Amino acid sequence: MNTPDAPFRRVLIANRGEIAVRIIRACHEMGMEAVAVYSDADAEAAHVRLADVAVRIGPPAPSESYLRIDAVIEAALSTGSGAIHPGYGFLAERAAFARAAEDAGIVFVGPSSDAIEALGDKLNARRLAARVGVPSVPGTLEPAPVDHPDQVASILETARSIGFPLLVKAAAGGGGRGMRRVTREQDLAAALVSGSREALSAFGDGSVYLEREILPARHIEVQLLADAHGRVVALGERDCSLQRRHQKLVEEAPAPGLTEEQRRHLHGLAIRLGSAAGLRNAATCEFLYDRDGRFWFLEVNTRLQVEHGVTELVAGVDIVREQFNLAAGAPLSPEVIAAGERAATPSSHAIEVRIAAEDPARAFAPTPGRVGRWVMPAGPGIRVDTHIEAGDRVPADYDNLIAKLMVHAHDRSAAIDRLRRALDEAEVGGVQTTLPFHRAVARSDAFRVGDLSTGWVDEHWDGEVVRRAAVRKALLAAGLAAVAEEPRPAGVGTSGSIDGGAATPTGRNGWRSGGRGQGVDRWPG
Amino acid sequence: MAGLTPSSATGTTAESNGNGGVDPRAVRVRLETATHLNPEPSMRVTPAPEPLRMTNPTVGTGPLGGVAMAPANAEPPAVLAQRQVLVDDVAVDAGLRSLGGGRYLLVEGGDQVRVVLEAETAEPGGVARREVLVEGFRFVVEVESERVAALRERATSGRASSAHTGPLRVKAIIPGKVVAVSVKPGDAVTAGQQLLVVEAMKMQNELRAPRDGTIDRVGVTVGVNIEIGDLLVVIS
Repeated sequence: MNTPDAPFRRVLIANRGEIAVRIIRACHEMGMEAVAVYSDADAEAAHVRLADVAVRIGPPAPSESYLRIDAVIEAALSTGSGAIHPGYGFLAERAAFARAAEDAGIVFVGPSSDAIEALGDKLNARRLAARVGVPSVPGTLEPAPVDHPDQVASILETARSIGFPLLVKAAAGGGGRGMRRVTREQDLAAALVSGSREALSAFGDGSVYLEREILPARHIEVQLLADAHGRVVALGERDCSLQRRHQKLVEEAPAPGLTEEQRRHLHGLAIRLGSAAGLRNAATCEFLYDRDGRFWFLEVNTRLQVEHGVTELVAGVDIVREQFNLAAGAPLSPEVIAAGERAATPSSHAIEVRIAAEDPARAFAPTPGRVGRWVMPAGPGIRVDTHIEAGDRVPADYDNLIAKLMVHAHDRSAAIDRLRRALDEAEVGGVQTTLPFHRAVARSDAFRVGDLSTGWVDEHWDGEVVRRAAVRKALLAAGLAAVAEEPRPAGVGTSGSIDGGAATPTGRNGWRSGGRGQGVDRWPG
Repeated sequence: MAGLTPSSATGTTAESNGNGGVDPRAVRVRLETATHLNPEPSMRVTPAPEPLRMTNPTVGTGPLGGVAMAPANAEPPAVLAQRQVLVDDVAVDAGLRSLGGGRYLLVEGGDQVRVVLEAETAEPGGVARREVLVEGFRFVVEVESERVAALRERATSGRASSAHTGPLRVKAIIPGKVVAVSVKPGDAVTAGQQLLVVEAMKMQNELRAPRDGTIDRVGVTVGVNIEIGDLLVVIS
């Protein structure tokens, strides 16, 4: 299946889930073979099924499989893979991993290990921003002394100068892990310890620092692509303000309500950071946008983002394909450069919602389990990136994102209409997902007028109330089905065990005899 | 699609069923309780004396084009109409119309909403259980004869009050790994106090005491992997 002009013959994807599937698809479109790696929890996962070769790398625990640099490099060498795409999460932002690939003579699809070190460490990035005059969120530039109780007084002093409420953040962090919000001085020490403990467990690095909490603010980020010749292009920005626990739920491109001048200014800040760091391949600069119209640099993610798809839809660029070409040494393509020139004047709109195995009525608590019914929307302007099929297990060991639903339309209002329509078509059983929240977003007046902020979920979502209304409908529907006077379909009692019990509610004669008969008839074992 | 709210009930109160007499057709519907910390409301649904049955439905123009990977249901679309049912003794103009494949249109008053009723599984003791999808939620709903439910409640009502003061067994509601245990036997705890921390899906989830009491037993230690339903802590 190899194509002569493909950038690589064979590529290893050091990831799982929807992103591994998305990258494998790009490989196949470019005529490259895809090598999957998997843990025992994923032996039958979609990325393993789709890949041309699959290598087992360990037991389910990420630390014993997807986070094992040696095992992944060994898998790449043993399969003759010329490149490794890390996806996002896991090893994607570990400089040591990029370096191990470089040392093994394998191309790492992403920024160089040096750039990952310079930008991936948030404290480094904050110092870099200060050097090139990009304003960072006010806070500290050095790790907080978590292990030195005698220095608590000095950190308290610093905290007072930053102001409360403030955030304790992990230097190696991402996805909100290791992050703690502190509203009172007396809680600071405990937050530093627990944040550091979580950071250590999640990233193997317990360094934490302090940052002012800017609220209300919007989270806006810029997608960068860069080639080996030092050229950096901004493909446009995304608004990712709707978050829970500092993890994104809804993302859109472009960020609504910005002027062309604001976009040019913002893209310029990101390009300045990327250039100063010697960025190659793909990265994203994250900013907070406050009510006074100021942008505050947050961090750089030196990898493909979960939400890269909305930029692909609006910019008309396949970012993963570009990543492979750039990794092979190609200059930025004319298409990318043209897309960069259009980025401040976008002509369409895309929205993504993250369908995750979480209960939005129970503080978005994880709901691992086995997926039952699985119907995803289709039709004009719809893109679904997923690794899930009906019957698949959502393991508790990994991230709970099970699908990204993206909609694309000529403008934001049409995109929201399309999102509402798409969500009406989605049916997911077996595990509770974030679908009820997304349905509420698609119907929200505040969302439609672009009233976005990182506090949006707390302000606009009352999961318990929404759930209560849905519970009533569920009970009523099940009750109506049970009391409906339907003749028993012919064959019930024999066919029931074949089709798993008729999905159509059948007669309720059994209730009259104490509620047993029918059940016993249909389920003889 | 507007929400179906209790206000769309017609509001007429049903005549009494007599002294403890329960319509033999009535059912009790509730959420499967095992997955919820808090007791959930239940609903009593009784068909009106003369149910109206539609036999020739116009199947709604539901969304097409969804890629259904669930096994197709061979059952022909059935029509279930139940105009005027009693919901907890209040007459409600509600009906259910099959759209095929386990999908139904729930109509109540002027509102309608699409629901999915998955195949029913029967449990011993006359309880049937089925998954219901509505507005993005998925619930496991238990249905049983109202007569049986009422009998059982009468039989256990004497014991119900003592249950509140007896030992409370706190069970795992998510699978994961215990990363911190904050209490030991003999500790006094107040409602809301952290008992332990469970790491699941890369997140640390705090488990808090549902009420005041004294720790009687701690069933787990740091590092242990737990499954849903595992006994974690007993509070007396």
